[in-house]
Amino acid sequence: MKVLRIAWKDTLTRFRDRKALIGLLAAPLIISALIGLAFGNINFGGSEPPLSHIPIILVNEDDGQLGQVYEDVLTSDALADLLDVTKMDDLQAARIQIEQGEARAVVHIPTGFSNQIIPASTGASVGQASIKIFTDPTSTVAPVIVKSIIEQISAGINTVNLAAEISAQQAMEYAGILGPELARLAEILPEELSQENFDFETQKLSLNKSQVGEVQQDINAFAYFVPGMAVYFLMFSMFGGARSILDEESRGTLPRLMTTPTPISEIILGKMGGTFLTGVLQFTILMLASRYIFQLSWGNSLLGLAMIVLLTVFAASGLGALLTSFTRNQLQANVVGMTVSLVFGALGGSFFSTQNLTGALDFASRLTINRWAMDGLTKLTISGAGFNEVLTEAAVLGVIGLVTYALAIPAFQRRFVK
Amino acid sequence: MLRKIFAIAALHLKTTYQSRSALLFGLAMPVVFTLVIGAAIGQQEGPAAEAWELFVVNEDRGELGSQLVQNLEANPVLEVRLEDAETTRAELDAEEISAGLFIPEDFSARLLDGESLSLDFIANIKDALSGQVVEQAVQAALNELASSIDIAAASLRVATRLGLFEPGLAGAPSEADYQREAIDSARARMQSGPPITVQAIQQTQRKEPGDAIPLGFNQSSPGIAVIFAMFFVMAGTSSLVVERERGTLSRLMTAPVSKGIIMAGKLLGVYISASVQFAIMVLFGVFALGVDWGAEPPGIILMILAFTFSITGLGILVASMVRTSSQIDAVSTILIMPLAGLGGAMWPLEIVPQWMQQLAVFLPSGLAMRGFHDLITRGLGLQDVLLEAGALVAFGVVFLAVGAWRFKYE
Repeated sequence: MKVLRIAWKDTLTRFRDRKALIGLLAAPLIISALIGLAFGNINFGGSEPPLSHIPIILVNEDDGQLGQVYEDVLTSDALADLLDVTKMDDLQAARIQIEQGEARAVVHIPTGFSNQIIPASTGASVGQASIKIFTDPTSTVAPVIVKSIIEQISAGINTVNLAAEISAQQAMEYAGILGPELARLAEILPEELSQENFDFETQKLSLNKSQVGEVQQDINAFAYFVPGMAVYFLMFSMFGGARSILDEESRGTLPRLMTTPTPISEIILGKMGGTFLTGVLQFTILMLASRYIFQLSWGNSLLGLAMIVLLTVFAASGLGALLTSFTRNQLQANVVGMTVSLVFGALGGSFFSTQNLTGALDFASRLTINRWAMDGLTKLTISGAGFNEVLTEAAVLGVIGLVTYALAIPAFQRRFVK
Repeated sequence: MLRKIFAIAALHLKTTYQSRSALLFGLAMPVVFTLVIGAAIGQQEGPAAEAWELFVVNEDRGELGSQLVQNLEANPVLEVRLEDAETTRAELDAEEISAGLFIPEDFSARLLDGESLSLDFIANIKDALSGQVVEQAVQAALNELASSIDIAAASLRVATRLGLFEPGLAGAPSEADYQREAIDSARARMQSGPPITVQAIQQTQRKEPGDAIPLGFNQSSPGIAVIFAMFFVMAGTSSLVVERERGTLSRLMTAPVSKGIIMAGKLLGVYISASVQFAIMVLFGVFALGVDWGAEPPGIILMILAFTFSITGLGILVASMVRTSSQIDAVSTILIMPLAGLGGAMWPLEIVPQWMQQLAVFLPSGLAMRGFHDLITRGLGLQDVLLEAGALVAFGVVFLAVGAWRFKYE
């Protein structure tokens, strides 16, 4: 009974402190909203480039028709949303624009480009030339997009030019049979090689893609980061809750409590019970708020969700108790708590997806509460898994909780009963 | 006066690191984070040099199917294995292989008729990265074949108009032979090097620039350092609030020095320890893990000093607004995470909406990231980051002034 009374009193105190509520509830929601804003238009499962209006500079030193082809395509309406093209004459000045963060790429078409490619006479071989793209080294996505656009244009030009070369050369091989008719080649060739005869819009050979393996739905940013932030801030409040035992110790209220006939283990359990209750409430309110504010679905299995949430809070509060029982004072507990929540957050997938981790890093990630909680939660929310499919995660979290509490309570007892 | 400030700073550092565990955490924290960063970077060296296995089911009755297979085999990224449909589907269902490509029996016939077609390509979702690499390689082989067919079609049209296939022309080839010949010469021509090549080059002053298209985590070591530096500083300034709670601050006030000097000394202590922690992260990263911090140490030092200064200011500002140490934890996290995200420390800014990109210039985190990127990835020098460093110092001065003015000592 006493355990429950202490727990309830602590929970009430915590939810009455308006500034502490910021950390419990507002922070995770605000940060999720911000991440959602940043990634709002990005479909994590899709392949569409998430960028638009990429600032690029075109330095076209070619005075022939091919340079003009690049210019026309890059400034066409079809690419107007994707690229913001500026024309410049001075390559050096253009490259400095990249350094100043004003452009993500500079496309350079050299002098005499068309003349190098287009054969001087009908039937002569096509020459070679190169286009250089200077890219922003701090940028990862834009250079790939710009390069693939330039490659596509180049592939089209290559096809037309090789078609001219091969058509002429092949026809000339039959000069003996064709006789004087061959003289019409110079007239027919340009007609047959006009743009209309080549369709670069539709891909002649494409892939009909399908996937095997676990079906992955399109993930929106909220579905990943709301649980991520919820778990991260849960760790904070759980460590803070455990630390409150030290606050009472230094304020002298704990020794006073200990003069009452309440055994120390009950006091500790009461304090930790309050922390646990706070965590459950915090998580529940966050789930409800994100459901109504961000329309985030928390999956189909209420039972599975309840199990994962309760066991996550259990494990996190247990770890908080264990760490606190070994630290000397609040200051130290503060530093330790902050370190562990940050490391766990980073490794366990609260900030970055753990999907691509392998080897030692993946192993380290699996040592964190965050990872198991996130795996369980995203299985339920994103993959729509049921109760049975998150039993492993639940079991691991349960074991972490049991072990940490089993170590923490005797440690506190030793510490306070001197 | 200066001597008093330094004395208080030294006292602060001494009390902070007095206990062995605090010292351990103060120094171990940066090392642990750097390990995380280093491991993350080590993970992301891009697709390994090994080839990706691709099962190909070629049921084509014509020749183009095997030409496509040759195109695929010519790509060193792919390890092509010809299998029947049944085996390939079974292997895919068992999730044993990463991808399978199916060439239908009427492949050549339809292509030569000028039709467009789509080949079944099945990828295993588990290998998202290899699936993507394989898919791109397969599409490149398809494009090459499609281009040969376009070229041959043009050549056939020209020959037709020249009258090569008019009936009764002695020694003239059949249309089918002519087309096949054209496809062969087109493929040979393309394999010997296409007319236009496209070259991507990183715009950097670094002597040894990296790949033109860098992969994710290479970008993120300064980002992670910036995030954690903010946490270190906030933890440092929160010690002021803790000291106020425990009464040690008011005890210090009884000494015959002004509040301003005490505050200056304390902040100097916080500033020194945060700068040292940042430096440990960088040094440990560079020397123990080979993390790339650029070739411009003076610039990096300047940016570290300027950035920790601005964040120390922010820290005292936050400390002046809260009452308890648990509040400062909540408030600093709620500040740090958005600062990190909006400043480009958590993800590259290029992927966020434009207004967010522009906002970054007005945030200490954004300025720091800009400076670090200029030095590390762009290879610019000290003089190129003076503006960023100056702006950070200006931020710091404003924050410090407001924070120190509003801070309540008891």
